[in-house]
Amino acid sequence: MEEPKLQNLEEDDPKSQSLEEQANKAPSLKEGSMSQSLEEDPTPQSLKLQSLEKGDPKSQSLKEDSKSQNVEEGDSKSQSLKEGPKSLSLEENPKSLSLEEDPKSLSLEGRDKIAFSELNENSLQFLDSIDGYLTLLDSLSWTLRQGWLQLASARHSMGESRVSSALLDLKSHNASTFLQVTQQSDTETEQIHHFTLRKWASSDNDNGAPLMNMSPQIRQRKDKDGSPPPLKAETDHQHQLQKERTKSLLMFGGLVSPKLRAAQLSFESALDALVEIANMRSLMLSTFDKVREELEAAKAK
Amino acid sequence: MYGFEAMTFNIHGGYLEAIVRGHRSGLLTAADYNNLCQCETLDDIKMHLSATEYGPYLQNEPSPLHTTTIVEKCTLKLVDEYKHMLCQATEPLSTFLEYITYGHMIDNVVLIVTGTLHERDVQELLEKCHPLGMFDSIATLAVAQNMRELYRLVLVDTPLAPYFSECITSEDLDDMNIEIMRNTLYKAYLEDFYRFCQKLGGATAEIMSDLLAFEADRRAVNITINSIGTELTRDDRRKLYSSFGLLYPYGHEELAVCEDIDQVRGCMEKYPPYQSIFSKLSYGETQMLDKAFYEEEVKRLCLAFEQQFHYGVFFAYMRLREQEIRNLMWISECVAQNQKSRVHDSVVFIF
Repeated sequence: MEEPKLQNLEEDDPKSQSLEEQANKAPSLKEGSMSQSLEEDPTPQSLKLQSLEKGDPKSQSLKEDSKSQNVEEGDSKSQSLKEGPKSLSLEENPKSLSLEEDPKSLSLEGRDKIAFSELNENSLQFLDSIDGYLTLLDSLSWTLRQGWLQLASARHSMGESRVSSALLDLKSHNASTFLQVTQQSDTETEQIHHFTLRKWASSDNDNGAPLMNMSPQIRQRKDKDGSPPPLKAETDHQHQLQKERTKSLLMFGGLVSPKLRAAQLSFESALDALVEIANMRSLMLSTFDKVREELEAAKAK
Repeated sequence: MYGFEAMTFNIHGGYLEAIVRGHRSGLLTAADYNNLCQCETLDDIKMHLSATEYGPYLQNEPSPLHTTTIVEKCTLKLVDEYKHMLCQATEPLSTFLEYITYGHMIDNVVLIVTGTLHERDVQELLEKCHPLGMFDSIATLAVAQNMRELYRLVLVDTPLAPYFSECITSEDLDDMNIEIMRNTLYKAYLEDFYRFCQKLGGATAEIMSDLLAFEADRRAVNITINSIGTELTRDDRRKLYSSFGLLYPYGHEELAVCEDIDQVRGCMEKYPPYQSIFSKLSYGETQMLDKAFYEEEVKRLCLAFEQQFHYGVFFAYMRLREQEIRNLMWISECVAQNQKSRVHDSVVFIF
């Protein structure tokens, strides 16, 4: 609903329209194409971005602010477009106007430029994290669909009685997979949650600690003893992983179909994707907070 | 005397052979499967099945339907038909019909024992059992701690008792022992069924020998493929193969040492009936192997109906219905998961 109003305003000002077209054609400026995708709706990815923005009231309020600025200052908008398409992003217009209209503020130019570039960097990071988040969601959806179909295929092959929820083990046992949540401090006040998956607890460990899915650690331990080849350590690690996977499938019987093993691998990949999505979302929220703070700071000036 | 069954078969078996041939004509056709494969929801499947013999069993099921409900109701139809034939049958046909259900009985025993090992509720497990494999005192299986107790407390009074002689141990039951017990029981059952059919003689022996030999060979291949990468040793694997079939004994020797699917393929391609099955697969592939085996089985089962005056038609009909129920289960799963493009991966047309 915001886009038609924006377009109507731009049609009233042909100069700004032509300048906008020039800005949009600049291929080297990624910011311009990104901002164009925000305000026009040619591509499905941008549709997703738009839908994400429409669903997000904060970004909507940012857009409304930029729209109201366009209503008040038509010519100044075209001048800001002449400077560069960066100004068409989530940035507020008064900042760029101040650069053009008030020559006396040139002494503040350096400080404003630094803030300008930081805001652009954070905006880019935010948009990148959205893109990564949506890609991961799509990948997760595909992996889960594949896993469920493989499970149905295993049930078809082995029989309903051999692959059913009635065989799930209700005895108390240690978890085979752990999720570790840590907090990383990005700035003095900013803290980002980071999620790490540690898969397949080894039954040989006394404390039930999971096998670290990090082969460099194993390499490091072995190097102290003298230097066995890292390839052997990797092979042993893979063999141990396979053993743990087979052990977890024992609840369905000792001799299971390869289709059930394939379903297990699919769900394992889906779990990895979920943790990546959680990390990406954490990054996305953190960068969005930064962008919002900078915009509010610019508004306060 | 082989060839003279026409003189005496109809005295005791004529009525039931006519019944089973009538049931055979009610099996779903390719046109029915094409309609089912185009359904958008499980309610559409129910609507299409209402025009078939499954109609009365599904008509009272409320929406939303689940795939397990469809399978359960279709299985009920098969059980009703089987029970009608069993109560009308005389010896030796009644024993032959009972033999057909021993495989389900073994599956139910293993389900109860495994579920009890995993601390599941017995009632929940009984609901999951196949109705053709139920027997009195099946619930008592939950109290056994090892195979000796399993035999002494429960199975000694069941038809499975003779099959336990090879696997009675005092070891506590665990997942791997239970799997070995399952396969050992099934091997003993197949061999006993084979001997019974040989004793019957005539067309029954000829047709059932072919069908049971194929079953034994398929089980040998499945055991080999499923045990690749597990802790099952070669000797233990060899002990699970049946003592008859086209692969016995030299094929079994080669299968026992196979370490991957390509070695299995190399072993099986030496036998012409199985060369055609493996020629449909690409190297390293196992996904379509089940479908290839089911297609070959369906072809042999349909051929059983080409000859009269033998008991093989009863076995063939039961197996064809089970295949039909598997087809309906797969179609329902693909529709429920919105994966209709994969529906033809596992559907085997009977006619």
